[in-house]
Amino acid sequence: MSRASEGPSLRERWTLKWWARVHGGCKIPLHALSPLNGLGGLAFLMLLIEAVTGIILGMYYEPRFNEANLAYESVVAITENLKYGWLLRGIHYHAANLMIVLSLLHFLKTYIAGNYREPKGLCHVVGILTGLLAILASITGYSMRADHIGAEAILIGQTLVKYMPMGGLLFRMVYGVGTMDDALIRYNAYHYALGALLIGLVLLHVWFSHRHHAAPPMDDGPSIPAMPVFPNFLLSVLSGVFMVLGGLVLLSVAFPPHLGVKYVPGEPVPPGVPEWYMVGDYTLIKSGINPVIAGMVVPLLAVTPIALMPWIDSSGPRHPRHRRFAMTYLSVFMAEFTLMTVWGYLTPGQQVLLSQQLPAALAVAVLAAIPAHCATRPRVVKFGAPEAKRVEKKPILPWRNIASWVMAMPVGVVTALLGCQVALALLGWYWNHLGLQRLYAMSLGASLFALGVVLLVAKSALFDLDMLRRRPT
Amino acid sequence: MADLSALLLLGALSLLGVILYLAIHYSVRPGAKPGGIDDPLRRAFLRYSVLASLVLVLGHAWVGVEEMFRSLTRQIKLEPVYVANLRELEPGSAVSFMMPVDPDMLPADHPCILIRLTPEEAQRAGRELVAYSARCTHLGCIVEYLETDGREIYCPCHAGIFDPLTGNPISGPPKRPLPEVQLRVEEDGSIYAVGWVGQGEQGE
Repeated sequence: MSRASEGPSLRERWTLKWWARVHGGCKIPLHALSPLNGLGGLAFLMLLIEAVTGIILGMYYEPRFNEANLAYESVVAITENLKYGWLLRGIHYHAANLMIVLSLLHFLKTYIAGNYREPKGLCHVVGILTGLLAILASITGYSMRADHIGAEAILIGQTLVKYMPMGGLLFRMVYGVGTMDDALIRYNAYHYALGALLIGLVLLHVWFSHRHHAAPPMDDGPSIPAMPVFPNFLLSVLSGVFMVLGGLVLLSVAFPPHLGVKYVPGEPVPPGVPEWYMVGDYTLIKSGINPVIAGMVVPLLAVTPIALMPWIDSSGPRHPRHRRFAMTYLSVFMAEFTLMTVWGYLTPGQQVLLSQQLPAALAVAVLAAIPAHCATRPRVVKFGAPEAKRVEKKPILPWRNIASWVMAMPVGVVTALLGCQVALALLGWYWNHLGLQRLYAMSLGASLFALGVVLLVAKSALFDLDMLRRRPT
Repeated sequence: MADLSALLLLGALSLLGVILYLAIHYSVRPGAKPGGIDDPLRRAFLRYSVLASLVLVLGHAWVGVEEMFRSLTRQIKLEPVYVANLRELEPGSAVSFMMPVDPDMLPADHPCILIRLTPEEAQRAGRELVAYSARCTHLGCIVEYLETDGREIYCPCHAGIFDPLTGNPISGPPKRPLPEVQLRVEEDGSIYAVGWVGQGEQGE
């Protein structure tokens, strides 16, 4: 009879009020308000931007080689003939690179903070898997340009698959008969499939972290609730999304997307250096030993302890200085990655023999291990309270100063920004009319960024000041 | 379209104007506390300024998105298309051909049908050769010329029937006539399609 016993109706469920009532009680803990905790979310945002721009680019891309390299020609057509096609390509290109950078930084942050400890072990493994698949998705992506770098990546990929166990059958499954036509049309399919798979895996990863909440502070101190998810935190996130979108547009205007030399079989091409995240792997492959072992087995073996770290380093204090093995391993891993990457950039198109790589890798491993070893202590299992003296932190927002500045004149700031946006919109309209695409894109990026700032200022003045005022002193 | 973006821009500007007006109006009202955290008008201003900002960005972006999706569909100039030779075409028969542009002169593979009318029909119509778009004006199925039952253009999808003399719909769901193709006959009997009749006047 009574409505309350039936729960909210479908219509009520779709209102923000219902959502706020259910999730409004959730508060982000103080230690999790650090911008470093947003790296993973930013990487996910990049993935979503990839999906949207990728679908539009896919409407114009032709995955056919057909003797004259039609794929490359279609990329040229997207860049030159399609209005704002260069902008779409630029956003797709930069967001892909940023996705890898942000994933790597997110990995470093969570690893160093020891967030992989149970119950987040499976979440960590899914995250590592997602990162590796993101690299695979990026490789299929830049191969589809069919320029000298992409064609080289396809040729190397074909060789790698041939050298694998059961290579003959595997090659037929992955590359068909082995022509460029077959490779491109398959890479097109793999690229979409990997994108969809990535979104699924990230959602799983997000679901895990939602279930397990934010990891406790690094020093195992108390988790102090600080900012309500709704509306304060969500609006902060939304304003960040707009600023990042604007920044991406501006980045694409400043640095137009890369396109190499057209690949035509039989014609000489300059030696290609792959995208930065693959340069280390490329150096390993240049060692002259079996490419599957050098380019796939060795990197995967190096990543395996990192993926298994939740069960290797499973107990003891969470602070990095008490996790000697985990931190030393990370230090060596990152040093080797850097070494191979720098070496790859220094030797384009040249061989780097195993007899050169092994001593250098050993020396770098020792050099990286020593400081990490010295900075950490062997694991000590303590019972009871781990640290005797702990400074009580007051729940103060990290951006208190900005909030107090906003409190002084939010209306003025917002009015000025809206005025700028109106001017930018008028100029953008005129520039588009004149065919000045880069100027139009610049104005759009700036306007998007301004929207983010307007939202942030308004949200701070509307909700955060209230929150600060209500805070018990 | 540019009109829509202009409309959006205008809407955003008016919204902004209303907000500014109300803000100034309220701030000079005696007894008001402008700038205070709890001033309801100040709160409303901040809320609606976010909306105005969003509308401005959407209008701004729409200009470019619209330009982008339009940029690869420019009108092209049509070269005459060879259809058939008059000597090989029996009276009362039809031949189908492809026009590289649709009636809007946008690039397309547009199927068409050329009909050589029977002598009595030709006398009534005042011409011997007619050509129409073969896409039914109802839902775009391909029409065919029936030489048996009273000679009509018939659409098999929903039984639409057109008059072969004029292209006008006779029965069935189609309500508009088939677009007509402009023809040119050379001295050796070659028939060329040179364009669409009334192109420029009708905008479908």
